Amino acid sequence: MHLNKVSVKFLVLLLITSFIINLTGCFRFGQERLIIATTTSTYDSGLLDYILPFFMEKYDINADVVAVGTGQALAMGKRGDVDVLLVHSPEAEKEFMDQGNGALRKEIMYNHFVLLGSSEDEARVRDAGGAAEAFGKIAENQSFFISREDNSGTYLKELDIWEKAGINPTGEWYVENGSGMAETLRMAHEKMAYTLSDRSTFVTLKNNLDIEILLEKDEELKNIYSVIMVNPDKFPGTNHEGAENLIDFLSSPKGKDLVKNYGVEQYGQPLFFPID
Amino acid sequence: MTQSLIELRNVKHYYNGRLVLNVPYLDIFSNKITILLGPNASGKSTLLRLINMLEQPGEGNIYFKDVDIIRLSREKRLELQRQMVMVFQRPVLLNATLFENVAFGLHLRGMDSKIIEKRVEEVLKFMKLDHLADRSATRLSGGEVQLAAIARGLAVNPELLILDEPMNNLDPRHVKLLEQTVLDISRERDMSIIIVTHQIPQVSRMADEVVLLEEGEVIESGPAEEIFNNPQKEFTREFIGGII
Amino acid sequence: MLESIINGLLEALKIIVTFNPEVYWVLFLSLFVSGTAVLLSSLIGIPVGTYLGLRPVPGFHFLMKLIYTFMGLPPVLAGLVVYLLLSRAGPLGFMQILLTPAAMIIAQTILVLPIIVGLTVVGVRSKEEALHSQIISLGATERQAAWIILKESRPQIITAIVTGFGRAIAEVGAVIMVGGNISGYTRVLTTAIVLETRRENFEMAIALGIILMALSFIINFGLYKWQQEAVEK
Repeated sequence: MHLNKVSVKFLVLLLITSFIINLTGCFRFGQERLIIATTTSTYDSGLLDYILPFFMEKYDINADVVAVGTGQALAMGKRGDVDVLLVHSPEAEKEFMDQGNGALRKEIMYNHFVLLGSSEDEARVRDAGGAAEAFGKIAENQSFFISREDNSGTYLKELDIWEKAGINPTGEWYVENGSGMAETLRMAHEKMAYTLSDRSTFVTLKNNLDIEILLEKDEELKNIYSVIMVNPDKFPGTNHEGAENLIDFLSSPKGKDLVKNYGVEQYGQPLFFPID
Repeated sequence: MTQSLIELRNVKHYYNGRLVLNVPYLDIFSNKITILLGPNASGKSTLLRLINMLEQPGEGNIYFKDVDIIRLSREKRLELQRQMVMVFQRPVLLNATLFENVAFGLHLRGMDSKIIEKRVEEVLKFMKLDHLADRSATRLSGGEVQLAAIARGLAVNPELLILDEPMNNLDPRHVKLLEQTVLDISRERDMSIIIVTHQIPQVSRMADEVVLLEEGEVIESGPAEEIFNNPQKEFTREFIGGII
Repeated sequence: MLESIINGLLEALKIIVTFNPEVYWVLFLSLFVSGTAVLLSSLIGIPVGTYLGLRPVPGFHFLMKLIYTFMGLPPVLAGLVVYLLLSRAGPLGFMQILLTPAAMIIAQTILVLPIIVGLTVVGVRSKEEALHSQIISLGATERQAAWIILKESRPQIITAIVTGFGRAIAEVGAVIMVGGNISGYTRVLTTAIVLETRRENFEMAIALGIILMALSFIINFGLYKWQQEAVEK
């Protein structure tokens, strides 16, 4: 009958659609998958795009990178939605490990945060002995300071330093931005303000910015990146083997070489330094 | 002998609790042109919908060819439904050509396509619409739509054809054509016709029987001649008055 | 600002002409995810909408109010709910489809389905009110009448599909949350724009936006033609 022909077409279409959906659960036909959560600043530095192809070939695995804020990356690790984390907030990471969310944590590489500002440096930050002192001078002078005010590693480090300086930053000079590193830098550039940034983002953008590094190699500004294997016992399906392989790879001479070399050609300097 | 096609007995109908139709006794006769008259909101459309089995009366009985149309099996109901057609006041055509629209009722009845083709061509020619056969219904003028709807009803060759204010959108040419068509149909075929119209002069030309409604009640009904020449009620006199 | 747009336009043309594989994959995935979501929503939504449009259903008005509300469901909220459902920590975690295109399709289907149902109901109902009595009077069975009304509602149903597709292809909140914006796997045009904007590559972001609009235009061009055919028979 008339209606039956349509019902059949309908069912066939429904079947095809579900088949398509199943296919897209893969689009990969059964290859192994490692899901890495990292921070936006790490991802935007381009390091992983450079390193991961070597890793993927060596272990014949798909490495998928999800770039979100530090807080969200840790939250995803807590839920077991990713297999491994690459983050740089040691205090938050410690809490993460203490809660039993990670099976293994290894400090892999580091770089420094940099304190940026206009060349005029009205708060005389260049004369400061360390990051906390520098922050103190900025607060005293009430010079514009742009803060990221999100869950990023940079912001957490910034809060750290304010705490060390014993200052609670409020006032019109303290501008809370709530956005990504690049936009924060742009704002600092436009307002000739001070800001804290991870080195790699600044290096990649510095040609467009009038602000410069006023303080760097301070111990307080050290930015340590760690790889954390998400605890496979918490939730089924986490790829702990792949996570282990990634940690091995990054710790290997080849891995360290890649980290050391990244950025040299493009920016004249490495952006990350492997930890031995 | 004049045979009753439709009989209403003790019919009452309500909308939202309000009594809108109260017809204790009414006969519509076969093979006659019955004109239904009355002021606006007098219950004409309600009466038509009940006769056309689109609604069931709140109380009372309606008979079509002696069959009680209220308590019917689905098949019997369909059978009777297909013996009558109503052309609505604001007819709606389908998104198709005029030809396909007129053929619609025949397709519903599952008739052979060759027969359908012949029948539709006949009707279109009869209504002088054949030059528009391939025109899309969306491109017909208001008057053409009206005529098309009538053609659509005619095509299924019903025993009862109901026309609800068919002259509304027609220019004088078409009105004349329609009048002639209705008279021809009544003469040539065994079709009973009920027409609702406001145009009194037409009534006098076409009507065999007249039914006058006011506020849901039949004020007067009977052969046209009697109603016009010898109206019993004051209301009738006033309503029809002055034309004859 | 105008300069950015013009540069963006040039960048867009360059991308298209040089067959930049990364962008083409993003383009394909956008179409694939949103297209499948619309297809699924239509397969479920059109029959449901037709049924609601034709039959007197108890609580119809309340249902419609509900459907209208869900038409405006914020994509991020849909994304969040689907995320929590599909998360390994969630009830459907065993399916392991979070952070895959499948999850994106599911999330978008939730967004599109109310639109298709709602607009189908409205379209079918208005046709029903206009046609039902007249078709019955011509001798149709209820089933025949339903079928005719459905066919006559085709332009309105196509509008529903167009609207649903527009919603899907343009949203970012749901797909970014359940997909993760993974390069070469779950990155679509909207999430790519977010990425480029974050990196302050405005010309690239605008270029992607232009490509998205162009894609949308092409699809809607086809849908519109299909609709015109249904109207002018």
